[in-house]
Amino acid sequence: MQMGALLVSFGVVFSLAPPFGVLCALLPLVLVPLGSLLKRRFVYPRIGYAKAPRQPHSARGIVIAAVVFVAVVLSAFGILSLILGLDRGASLCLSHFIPAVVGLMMAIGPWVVAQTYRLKRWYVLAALFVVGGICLPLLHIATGYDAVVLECVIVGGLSLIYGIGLFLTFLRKYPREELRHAAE
Amino acid sequence: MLQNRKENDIMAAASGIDRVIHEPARLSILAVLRAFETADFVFLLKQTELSRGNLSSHLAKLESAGYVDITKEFVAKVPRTLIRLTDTGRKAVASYRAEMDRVLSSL
Repeated sequence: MQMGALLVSFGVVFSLAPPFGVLCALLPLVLVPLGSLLKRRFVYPRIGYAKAPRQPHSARGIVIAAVVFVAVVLSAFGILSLILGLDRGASLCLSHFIPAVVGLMMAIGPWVVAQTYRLKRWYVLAALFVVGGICLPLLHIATGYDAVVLECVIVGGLSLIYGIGLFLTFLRKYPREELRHAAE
Repeated sequence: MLQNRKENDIMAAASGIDRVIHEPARLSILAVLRAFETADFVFLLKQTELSRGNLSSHLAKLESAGYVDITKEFVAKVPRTLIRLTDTGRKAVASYRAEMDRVLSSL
């Protein structure tokens, strides 16, 4: 829900006034405490609080992933430039490849969360980023930075709607009548 | 004669079982705590489906055995009881599991 709100805000602000898009970096300062407040007020009194153990990540895996990522980006740029010439290659990269690369980069966060807490919905979110980054330019819906902004709005919007739905379902499943004190 | 020897083996194996953990309610508490770094009283209440009094008394027994660590804190003026499995508790659960495997395999 927080991630969705952040992405939608970024997408909307960036499309209306690109220079102010940077200000969205400050949004977590509001969204994180707001999320904690919601959890404290609605979630913990209903089902309690438990901290899941973190799954350790191997540094080797992260280094390999980063190297593969850079290699794919550079080789794609190189191959396109060789085939189409530097100008057209660079132009195609900007219009079609940048959204895919940004989609891949944005998928890293949800992927790490999914791996850490074994939550399937974060895998779905990561997949949406990757698929969106590839499909938006290919289907001629948007290219270049427009595709990145549109991807933020679509994926963020879906994530926000799903999050709100999940929260409302939770509130219905654990009604207020069952509330008890949070302490023993 | 052979039957008696087998029964004796089972009895000997069963005598090594940790009685603090062997009680079903306490076992379910430890099973939940083993899966999490820390959990609060309400969470344990929901997961184990025990009554408040029951959960309290079992937690007290586990705490006196040194298997769980109980801390009380205030979050935004609301009291919260956090329960965590200690290293001793983690080892005890592991050895209980090994012991039970041994007993069940001797049956």
